[in-house]
Amino acid sequence: MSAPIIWIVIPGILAVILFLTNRWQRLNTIIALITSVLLSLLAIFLPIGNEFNVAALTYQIRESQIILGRQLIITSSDIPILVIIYLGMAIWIAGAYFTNVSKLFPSIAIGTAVLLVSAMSVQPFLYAAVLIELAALACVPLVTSPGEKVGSGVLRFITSYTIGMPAILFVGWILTASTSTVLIENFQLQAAIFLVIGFMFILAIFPVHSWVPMLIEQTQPFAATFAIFWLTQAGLFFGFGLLGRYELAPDVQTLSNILRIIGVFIVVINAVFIMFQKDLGRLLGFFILGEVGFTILTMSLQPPVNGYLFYSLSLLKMLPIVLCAFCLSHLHLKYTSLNFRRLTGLFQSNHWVAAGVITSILCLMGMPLLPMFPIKYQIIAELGNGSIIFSLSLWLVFFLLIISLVRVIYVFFTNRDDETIFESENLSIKLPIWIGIIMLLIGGIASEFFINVLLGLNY
Amino acid sequence: MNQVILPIISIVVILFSTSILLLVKNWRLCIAALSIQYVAVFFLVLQNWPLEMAMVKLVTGWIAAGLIGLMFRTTQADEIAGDIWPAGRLLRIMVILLIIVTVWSLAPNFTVWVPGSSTFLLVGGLLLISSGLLQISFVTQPLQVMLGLLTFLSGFEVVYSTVERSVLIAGLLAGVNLILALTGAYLIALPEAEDEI
Repeated sequence: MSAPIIWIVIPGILAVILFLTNRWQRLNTIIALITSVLLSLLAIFLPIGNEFNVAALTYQIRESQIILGRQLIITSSDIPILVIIYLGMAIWIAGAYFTNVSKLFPSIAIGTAVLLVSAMSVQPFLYAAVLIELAALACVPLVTSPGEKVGSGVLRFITSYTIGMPAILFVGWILTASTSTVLIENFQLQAAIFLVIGFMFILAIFPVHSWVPMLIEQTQPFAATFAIFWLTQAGLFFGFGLLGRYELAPDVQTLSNILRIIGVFIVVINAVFIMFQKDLGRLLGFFILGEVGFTILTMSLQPPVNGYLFYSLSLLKMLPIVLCAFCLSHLHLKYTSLNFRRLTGLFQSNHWVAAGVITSILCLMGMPLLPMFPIKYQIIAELGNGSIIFSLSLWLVFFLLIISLVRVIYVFFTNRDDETIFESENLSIKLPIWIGIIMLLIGGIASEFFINVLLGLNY
Repeated sequence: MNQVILPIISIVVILFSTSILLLVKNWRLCIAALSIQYVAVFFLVLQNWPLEMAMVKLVTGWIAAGLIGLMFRTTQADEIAGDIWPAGRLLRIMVILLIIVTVWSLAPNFTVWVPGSSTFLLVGGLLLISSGLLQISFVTQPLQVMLGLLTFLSGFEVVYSTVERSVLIAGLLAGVNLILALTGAYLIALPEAEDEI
């Protein structure tokens, strides 16, 4: 048995079976949920590449598998990625059950996980871009609804990934060629141009980010957030993998500075966008993009801090994003719009949905007692050691986000003038929100414990 | 002889097909143009790849065109709905001419970027990439966007065939083309669909 068979081939076959039997939504959800949890537990406990004994028999999980003439390699250093992907999928699948997403969600979630793990394990590594493109196309049925016109957000989403993929593939050729010849000197500029273009499209970086808020605004918020989160996260895993494999800059310090500038730019520009939003869906979209910037900032730090913060942030940011997407999905279903004007006075009848949204925003901002506080604090502290400008920029971001939060709270708590009646929440809405808020609070108190146990990371 | 004549004929075919895709609203003509375009792509890729691998491009392209055409047929519309940018055909023709001039003048410089490639091959590839991007930029209908994306990808594959000869990547790119066409067919059928897949 090899690791690629356990984490790619078997769940891949399961995804096809779930797709074909999508009419049994409840059963499919349970199977997909159990499979995801099981695969994440296997990632934590199975020693990849080493021998282990069970009932007097010795087993070994091989690291590589040849598929279509190319190697797929999963080593013990990939465990954090496996845990984040499969445990994350379990959280998304559980949340999806309580929303009105497509019945294909369990199969597409498992299929997306398979494609993302394949992308991280394929050799040569730069072929991952094609697999990320396939994952993007697999998410299309989730963000469209039968009988409805296809929105421009969906078309832009497909276009972004289809343009980004060739750019990365071309860089792949340049980098591969440059390892054996002197091409790197001649092609440094070309590689940089294609790399920037490719990652701009894959990570939805300004100015090619417009599909993200449009997608959440125009389609089912939970499904749209799922697609945005996982595809940008795949781009981040891919980028982090590239840093470890290729020399992308003349020296480590130059690369670190470039990443810091890019990261701070993304965080600041999205904080500015967040401040001007009047739609909760668009607001969440820009928050996710802001987190892309923070994750790039973790990459700019020195090892082993960068790996610790990168994986911790990737795992922990998922909780508030899923909770917020769940609450928005409920609001979208009930009131069709997530506009501030429509949601004025929401707290009067939907206490827990409002509380869920506010708690998620507080967590994404990095407030104390919530899981992202220690990570964001550490990022700001590490950046502050290098440059006061970076540190000040991040404090400015924090200030802009507080203004946005105050606006959201004001909208939720203001009394409505008109006669619009909000429907009260039932238990199927309240229960997942309670679980989400409790998870955030527990994560806030014991985030290091979870990171150490789940990801096997110590710092 | 074939090294010169076939690429030149392919470039002429590409010019013809991309012009139809940009200027015409009749979906049957557009699908026919896309199918013919894949023949040109096949001959360009054949300059670098063995026949059996180049055939993959042709067959994949035809299946993709067939899928989209088949699905659009079910919508029973003769013309692609929506506005076509820009309003006047004359302006569109001028944009096409501008693309031709730009690509023709830039292609020799790109041979430095892509070692081992011929100017003809780059002209063909860059024409497809630029006309694909142009189409994507100015349309809002799923059919036109998909035709633009498939054209863009064809252009990339022509240029990429010079530097990459891996069977896996050829297979993956063929898969991307087919799934993109399937997605296009799905999006075209979606407004009239009553239930999920």
